[in-house]
Amino acid sequence: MELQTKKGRWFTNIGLSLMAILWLFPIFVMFKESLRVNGFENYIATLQNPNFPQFVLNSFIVAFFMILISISFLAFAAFGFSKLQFAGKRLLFNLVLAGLMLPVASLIVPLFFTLRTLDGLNSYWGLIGAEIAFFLPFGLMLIKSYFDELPNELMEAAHIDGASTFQIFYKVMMPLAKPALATATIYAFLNSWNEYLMVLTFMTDPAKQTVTMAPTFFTEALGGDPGKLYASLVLISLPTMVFYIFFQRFLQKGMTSGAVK
Amino acid sequence: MQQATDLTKSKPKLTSVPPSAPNPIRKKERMKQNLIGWAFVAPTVLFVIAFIYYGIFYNAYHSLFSWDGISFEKVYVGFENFGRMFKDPEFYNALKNTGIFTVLTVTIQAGLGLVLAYLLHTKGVGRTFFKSVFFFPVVLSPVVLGAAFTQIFDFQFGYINEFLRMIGLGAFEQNWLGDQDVALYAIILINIFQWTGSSMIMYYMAMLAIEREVFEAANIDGAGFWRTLWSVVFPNLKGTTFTLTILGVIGGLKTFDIVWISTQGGPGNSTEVISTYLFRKSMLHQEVGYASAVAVILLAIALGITYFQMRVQKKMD
Repeated sequence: MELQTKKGRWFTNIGLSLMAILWLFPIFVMFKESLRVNGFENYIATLQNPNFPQFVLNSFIVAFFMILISISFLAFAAFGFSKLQFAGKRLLFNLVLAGLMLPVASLIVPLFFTLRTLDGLNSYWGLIGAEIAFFLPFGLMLIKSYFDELPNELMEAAHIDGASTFQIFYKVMMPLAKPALATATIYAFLNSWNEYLMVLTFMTDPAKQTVTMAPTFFTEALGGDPGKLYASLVLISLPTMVFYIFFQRFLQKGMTSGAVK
Repeated sequence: MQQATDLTKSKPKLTSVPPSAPNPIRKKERMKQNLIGWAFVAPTVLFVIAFIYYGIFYNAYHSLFSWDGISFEKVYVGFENFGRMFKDPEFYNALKNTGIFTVLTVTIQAGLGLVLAYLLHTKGVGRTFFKSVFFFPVVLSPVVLGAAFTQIFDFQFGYINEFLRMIGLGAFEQNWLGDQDVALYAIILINIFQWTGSSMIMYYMAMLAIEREVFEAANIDGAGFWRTLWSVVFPNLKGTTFTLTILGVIGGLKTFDIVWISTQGGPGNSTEVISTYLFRKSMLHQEVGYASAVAVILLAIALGITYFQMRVQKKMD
């Protein structure tokens, strides 16, 4: 839209700039605090603490398998729910979708005690499984809405050619669905990397914890040295910042297509 | 698209299309279709049932018992946990705080997001940059934000209080996260900071779909900035506003991280929300049966909202 008046343009630009300064301020604070007293030494000290690389490694392991499993499940399911006809389709879809609304806290009791019985506490697979379960509903909605927009004629054409359903899925639909799968992957990574409550509950052993436990660990272990605490915060934010810089278009699109429609 | 046409070209063979087949064959065909469909969705559906629906059942069952989570013995108490909960002022306190949190975050995030989206919708310098800045906190971990804001809100050395003292308004300084009357609002502010960007993006995308003529007509009529926003743009974005409200309410019920990191529900229980209350009862106080009852209520609220949302959405479409 074109703004008519000069005054209006000034008003808009100044307003936006002030808001942007406010919005960047907490990030500025984080960087500034991370350099407190010892400057970059804080980063070196954080990285040299044997626990920190372990947190990062754990986070990457959990995120990797969480993404791998959930995206492969979702590729099949989104295609099935969008393009195939079968009995109970609506019911099953709503069953999964309802999971979107459930707070993690409401299932913390069953998850904790079931995992305890199965020796799944302080183990990667327990956390990975729980993270997948909470990601599937959102991921399904995201990828299915993309499949819904691919024309059905593609399926029919391939079907007439004698291609099996699996061949159509694998050779026709998968290559087309790449953008949706990429968006879901980015969201899955962010979810897993930033997960807090499940790690807090299931992973009591610092050797198995992920990056979101790093700040608590550094506050407790280092007698509350703020410089190192904030250095660890900057370090654990780096992967998400990199993701943001490269993929924010995907994230913005996913926000709207994934939103409850 | 390319892929599809290639496939058609490479295999110009036509299989015979079955004419109206007799009943048993059609039935067999349908069964085959069902099996294929189920096979595709099975991993996802079974996974969700195993983790989420099993969990709901588990909660419902254990809400009828008194159990500390440690001993083998679970004592059947019927609906006693629910009776206790509905008399527990702490439960109502958590509900009340969740309510305040939800109402304020939903309205402010939507209002601010709408204004920002509208400002970004105008032509001018740096619009992409501004959009990136406002949306950025969405990808940050609440752990990170909580810690950064702890520094900003600090009573002695915090940026807000130092700024207030600097401009001579020292009388207004607060113990932002340490004062019972203020802490909840301070946390709400952090939430607003993190999620306004997503409201903004959703409104922005929706505004792109509004016809140019609508804005132009408003302009010709001499409607000013606020007037256009309120009486022309906003009514065109009802769907987005509804979606944001639902997401915000659900978000309020889900809120845990930011509270636990900033205040752990304190001081006193002034920032206790339903999720932190549940976590405290189950994991710290070992009142597992009671916590299950709370979880049942929380699940009922969440599913009730979902049902409501689906009904309204159907009507809107």
